[in-house]
Amino acid sequence: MDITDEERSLLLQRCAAGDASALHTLYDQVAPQLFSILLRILHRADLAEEALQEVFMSVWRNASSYRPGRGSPMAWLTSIARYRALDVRRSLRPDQFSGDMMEFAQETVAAEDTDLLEKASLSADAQRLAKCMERLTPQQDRVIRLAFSNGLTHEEIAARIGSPIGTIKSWARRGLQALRQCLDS
Amino acid sequence: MPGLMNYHQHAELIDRLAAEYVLGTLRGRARRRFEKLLSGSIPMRRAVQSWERRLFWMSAGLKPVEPPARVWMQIAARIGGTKTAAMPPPVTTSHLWQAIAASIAGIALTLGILLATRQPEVQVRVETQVEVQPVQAAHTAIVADATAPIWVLNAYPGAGTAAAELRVQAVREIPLADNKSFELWMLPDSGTPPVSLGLLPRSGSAVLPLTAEKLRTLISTSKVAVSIEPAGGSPTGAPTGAIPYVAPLLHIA
Repeated sequence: MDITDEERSLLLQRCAAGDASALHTLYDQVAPQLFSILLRILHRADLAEEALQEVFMSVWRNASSYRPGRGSPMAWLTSIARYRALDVRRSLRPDQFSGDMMEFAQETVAAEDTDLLEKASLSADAQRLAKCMERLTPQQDRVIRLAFSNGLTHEEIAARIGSPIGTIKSWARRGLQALRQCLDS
Repeated sequence: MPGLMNYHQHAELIDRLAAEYVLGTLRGRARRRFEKLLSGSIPMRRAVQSWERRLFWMSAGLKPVEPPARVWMQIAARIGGTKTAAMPPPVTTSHLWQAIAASIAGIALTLGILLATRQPEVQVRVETQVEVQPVQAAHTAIVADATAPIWVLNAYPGAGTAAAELRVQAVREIPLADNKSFELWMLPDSGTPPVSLGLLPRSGSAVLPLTAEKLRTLISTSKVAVSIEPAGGSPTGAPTGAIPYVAPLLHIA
């Protein structure tokens, strides 16, 4: 990331005031990161492009609702992108989101995800999360990563891991509980 | 609403649902229901924001992927006249607005306006037929793409026994599949959801009725948008398809 949270926050304030050039600057700075997140969940460039467009329209319309005190601009922007991607996935018919894509999702996740936090770990908060993720059981860790990074549902994770859905739900729930305790301690 | 009570009474439940909402495993109707409650509940919003802060680092290490240039172009087109150099010049300059405002005085006339836009070397010739209007339009908009106008919209507030209406003239025909329609929406300044004004004609003209409520909303709206919907219009009452065009709405009277 080339710019600081403070600068992103200022850009959002300018967007809230209707300054389109601020949106353009923000886009140049963060769109590649958000596009990557969208691609990972949607696996289709066309869907990811459309979603990215909607994400920035949403940022443009809702920039005034961003409050610097409530979290970093990237957390806010990432959430908008992820929720959009989840909505798009939910609206797709099964034939629009093929088994191949699921395979792709399944194969890429394990190989890549383990070092994602390391790459982000320049930040103290990222390091904390990485440390707390290490304390999870391997199953809890896996379920949380598949859900967060790949947008998989409990059902999809169950199919992927070959465990009953109730077990997946319980791993997710306990994993999240453990994460909260660890991060808030 | 007993569901609401349950959510608010149990902080632990709120936190668990917030975590699953952020993680993405809260799906379907449960997700929609949670989102509905979210806007009215500060504790729920706080819980969600906390989880967003905790977890978003998981995607921070993803390798960035440069999106194609067209994505920004489409965004810029939708948010209207931007100050960016990469954009094709907007057609809806103040010159055009002045010309249109002048054209609705009441006699049929053909406009031949040579528009010099902000970008040098680019000129757009606009030819549009404006019908005889007995009353002056109070609100007007031109929906255009990067090259030329597509629809000219004039809203009449109604007077005496004449009801308020929106007259639409298609200036040129944009290709669209037979099972699709163009639908026109107001984007209220208040930020409330878009309000449909009706379906746009592919060619020729159409008169869209304006209820008193829609007219009130129109007065405090400075942008209209066109979405692509299933034939006959959006099944949900909100735009469901792509929104290829957004145009400013000018209030004259």
